[in-house]
Amino acid sequence: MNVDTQLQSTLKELQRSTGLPLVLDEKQLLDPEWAVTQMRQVTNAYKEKYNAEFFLQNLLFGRVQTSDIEKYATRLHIDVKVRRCLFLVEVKTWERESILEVLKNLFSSRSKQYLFYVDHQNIAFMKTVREQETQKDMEQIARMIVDTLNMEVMTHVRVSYGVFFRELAKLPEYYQENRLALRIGDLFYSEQNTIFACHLGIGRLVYELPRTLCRAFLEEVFGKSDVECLDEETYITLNKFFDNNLNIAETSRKLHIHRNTLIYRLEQMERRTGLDVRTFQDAMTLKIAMMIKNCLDIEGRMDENE
Amino acid sequence: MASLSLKNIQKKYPNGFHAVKDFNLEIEDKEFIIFVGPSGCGKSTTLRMIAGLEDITDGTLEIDGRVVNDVEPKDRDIAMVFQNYALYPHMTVYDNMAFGLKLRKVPKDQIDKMVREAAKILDLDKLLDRKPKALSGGQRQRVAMGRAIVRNPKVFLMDEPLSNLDAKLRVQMRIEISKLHERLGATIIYVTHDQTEAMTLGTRIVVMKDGIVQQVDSPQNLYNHPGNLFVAGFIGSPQMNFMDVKVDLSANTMTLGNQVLDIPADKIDALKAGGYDQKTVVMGIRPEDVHDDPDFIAANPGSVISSTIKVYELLGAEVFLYFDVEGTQMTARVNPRTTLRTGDSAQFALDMDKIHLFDKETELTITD
Repeated sequence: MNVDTQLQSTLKELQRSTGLPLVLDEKQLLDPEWAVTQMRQVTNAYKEKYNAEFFLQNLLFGRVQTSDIEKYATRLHIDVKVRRCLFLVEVKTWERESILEVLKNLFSSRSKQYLFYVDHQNIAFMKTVREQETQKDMEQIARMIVDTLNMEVMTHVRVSYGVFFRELAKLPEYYQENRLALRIGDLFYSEQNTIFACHLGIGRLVYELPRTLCRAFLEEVFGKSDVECLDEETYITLNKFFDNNLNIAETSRKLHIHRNTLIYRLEQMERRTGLDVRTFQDAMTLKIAMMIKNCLDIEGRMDENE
Repeated sequence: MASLSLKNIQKKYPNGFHAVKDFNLEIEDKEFIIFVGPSGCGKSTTLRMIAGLEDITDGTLEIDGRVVNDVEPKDRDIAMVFQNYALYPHMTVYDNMAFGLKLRKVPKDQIDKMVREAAKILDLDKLLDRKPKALSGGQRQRVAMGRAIVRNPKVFLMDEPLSNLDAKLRVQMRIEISKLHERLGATIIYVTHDQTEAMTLGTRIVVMKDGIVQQVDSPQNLYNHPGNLFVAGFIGSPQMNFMDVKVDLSANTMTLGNQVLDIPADKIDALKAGGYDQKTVVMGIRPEDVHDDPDFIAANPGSVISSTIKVYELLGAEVFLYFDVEGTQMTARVNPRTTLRTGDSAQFALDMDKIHLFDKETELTITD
């Protein structure tokens, strides 16, 4: 971007932030680059002083000293110790301005709800929660956000939400929890559009394992060269078997195969891995191995795409 | 409006969950198609793939002959009404309906025309200046529909839009949706877990379970000729009675414990052809085909069963009687003039022309 364009865009940003009709006197312009820097600094200072969203963004990323939180919050009329819940809305498209518009109109700013961009893919919504509201109400709000955005903006969204908190200083911690929830949701619960950060179950456990440990575990279960024994048919069979509580009759019915065919497939698996999935212990081991393998595969694909 | 074609549609999530398997369906222009099934059966996922809110793992989706697998939702000419929608609390009905169009930068005069036309269709034209808190539940629901109608889409996609309403309002809104379908002449795809809603609204119903289509048929055919045990049990309220019976083709009878029932003539060939002699099959019979009327019992001695009434339920226009036969609970839907009460010994005759027989292993119909 050349200096003239930067000058114009920085001036626009300053006008937008302050609401003041500012004009550049080009005859007086001695050092355009310096002017851009100065205008940016004035804009940031203004935002910091008068803009709650900017403050909350900085707070989210731990860029505000704990000792300064109360001072800035009070200046911006943000309650420091009120019951809150943080929602993180993940959007996969460039529709985020429309999404923010929809959310702003759904949740009026008069009632101390705060909506702001976190990054190009995420919007944070910090909601003040009444004493009688429960976690179930937050789940309902998350579903409502997904459905309304699906209908109005016609885009795929996912929403994570966490537990209630009072101290504004805890915002960074709960933001990280919500972020983790979306990540774990991506890996283990991809069929869900709303994820509660405290209900991540075994997915969180597997996610937190060191990757070297994961690979060693897979080697132990499948052997050095045999991890590819999990072909699609075997995968579907095992998942169905686990979903039906290790019940042969029910699984064979749901797979539309004869029970003998199912038993044959399970015995094949036992020959390859030494694990008899008809027993709970071995079923649990294989289930965890499958989750780990899946997690590593998805992470590998994500890294490639990046 | 539009026709849709779904060919071998699959949805498999990265975590391995296979939500929809080999879904095939042709939807004609102006049809009202219902996807029905229990929670987790893949009906919403299929709808979301049609909407473009979920990627299609495999297979082809066509709208009006155009493949739309990779087309953005906003470019598919569809509109959605979902269960957990919310109206903008500080906007009027007019602005609520116009908002989506404003986001898409539609010109003001066009927005005005579209909003007023939709409001007329939905009988909201006198309520355009009201805010949501001044509306009844049914009016709010109509505003949600209005937000979809103003888009003038080829296809309407509705995912359990009535689930959050109370029972009375649900019935009222069902009628309104039905009328809307006629007025708009629209293609509508509607998802519900409620089989009553499915039966009353759809021209065709797709019954799903575990990601697989069980049967696609008109409401009447689904009710009268269910293709498998699941469809038979899912469609109809109260649920169809099921009992294991042993087939004896030498006597053309079926035994239910100590009770012997004649096999209807039209079912014998199918049982013979399927090799079911001396085998156990599942017999299904709807509650309304279990009769307590003495004349019917006298005329059908080969289908009489005896029991003791466990529960008597009066619903006004009908009575449900619950009783056990050889350890299997059964329900009979009888006339409210019945004199039978809880604790009474009773005889019932089954209308054997209306029974359904299913293979116990595969659960598929033998005779339908």
